[in-house]
Amino acid sequence: MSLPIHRPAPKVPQAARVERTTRQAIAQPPAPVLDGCRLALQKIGFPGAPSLGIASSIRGEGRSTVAVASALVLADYGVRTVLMELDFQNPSLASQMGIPSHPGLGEFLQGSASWHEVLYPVSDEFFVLPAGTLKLSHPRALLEVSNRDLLGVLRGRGCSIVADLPPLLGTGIGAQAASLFPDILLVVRAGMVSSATVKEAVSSLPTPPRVLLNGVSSSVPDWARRLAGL
Amino acid sequence: MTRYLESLFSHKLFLAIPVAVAVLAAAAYVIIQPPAYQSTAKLWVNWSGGTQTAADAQVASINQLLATKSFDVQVAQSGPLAKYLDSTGGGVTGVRSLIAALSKGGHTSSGPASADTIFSYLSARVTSVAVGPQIVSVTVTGPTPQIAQGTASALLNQLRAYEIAARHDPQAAQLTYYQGQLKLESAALTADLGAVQQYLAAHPGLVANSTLANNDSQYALLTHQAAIAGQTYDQLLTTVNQIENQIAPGQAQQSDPFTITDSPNRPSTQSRFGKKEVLGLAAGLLAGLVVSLLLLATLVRLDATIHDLDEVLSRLDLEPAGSIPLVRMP
Repeated sequence: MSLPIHRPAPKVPQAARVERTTRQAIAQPPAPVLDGCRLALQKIGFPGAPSLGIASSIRGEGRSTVAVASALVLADYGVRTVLMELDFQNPSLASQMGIPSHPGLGEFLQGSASWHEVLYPVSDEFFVLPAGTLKLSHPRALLEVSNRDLLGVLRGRGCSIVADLPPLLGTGIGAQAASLFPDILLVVRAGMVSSATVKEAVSSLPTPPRVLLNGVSSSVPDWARRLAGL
Repeated sequence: MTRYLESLFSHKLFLAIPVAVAVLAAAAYVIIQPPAYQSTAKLWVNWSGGTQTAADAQVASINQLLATKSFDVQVAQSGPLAKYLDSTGGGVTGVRSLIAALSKGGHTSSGPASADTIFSYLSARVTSVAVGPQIVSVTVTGPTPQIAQGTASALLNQLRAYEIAARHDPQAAQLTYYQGQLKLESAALTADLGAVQQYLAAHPGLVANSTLANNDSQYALLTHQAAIAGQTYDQLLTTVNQIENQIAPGQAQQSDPFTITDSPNRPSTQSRFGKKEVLGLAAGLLAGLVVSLLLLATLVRLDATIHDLDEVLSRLDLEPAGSIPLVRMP
């Protein structure tokens, strides 16, 4: 089964059409990030698991970058992957991937755009679904995603889904968005968020997530480590 | 340990601030100090130091004398220092003088410097170091080249006078003693000779007849006593002459405690980084390091964030999936 991906639809702006047809090379995350995400996905059960939500306690923990890297890793395995933007307050995937920010999920939910128009191909196995322009409230939009079983539709078409979720704290919809996904990978920025904050964020989830620690690279130079016998 | 190191290198700029501030404060303190000039003299020590080297003994002697206020006052008064301290109210000049004047409503105190003032001033500004078995370097710090050099010269002069006096005083006491003994012996000899004369006057026949004189036991006793008194007198006279010769000016030069090989120089440049200044900077650095260490300990104690995968399990009770190098939001 293949996705209904076609060439640009008439509603797509000219500039966006150019990007979609040329499939510009995106700025990939560094190789160590891809490797770290690959190992984390293997531990969770990918490739093979249907969908994964990438969450974080607060903004700025590297969630979107991890989402992109995870999607790239899955696509690299040959899995048809859809990278979905669910962080409606601060969508960043479109600019990160070099695709138009709309039409996207918002237009699809309103019925003003079809799958053809909102799924942007980055490679043969990798598509991006941007947030688009939402006219619904964010909780309502998430409810629509759930009610229409959009994730099930995509999975039914042979796609794995990686979603960039809103932060669990401070947005009001983080937990609601996370509840759509059976597997949650929680990005924790090392040395930035207190364990109490992370615990508070985790308490809003129905099941305990797996944790991907972002920024474990040490700031201690090698000479100091040798000196301290570490 | 790892956590301390991580915090140290993560907040290195923040932790460097107390050190920088403390060193800058110490440097500012050094800069506002009054100008300082150092005059140095080198001495060749002539005396033996007993179990110590001669130079070490001389350094100890200088330090002992500097610890006495009477010596310090004599040094100050025989050089230009006393006048300077009198005019500046204890040697407070420069920015500190201005601060002192402002705190006293614009008036600086002046008048004769007390012995305490002289003592504290000199004890902080004179250093003596043994630079060889018999060579001592004496450095005097002063507010002007003239005062530094003049005080160094005065110090050496007073030092010489004290040490010569200390060495010559026992000899003078000996001389007085022996001179007294000589006087007594002279009187005894005069009396003995008088007794012999009286006896001869009473027995005129003894003068003409030597055989008779030899057989006169009383006469023999008197002449024997006079002869012994004469010998004792001669011995005492010799001793007195010897002591007098030792104390004579020619001998004093021979027993000079030290020879000034390098006279106190007149410094031409200010000495900004003397012992006091280096100690001030070191104290500032140390204080800054202590504050930084306390801050570091506080940072580590207050840091409740997650730093490694082990802490994901131990602090969050969650299963770690892995880790990646630091990535930030685009």
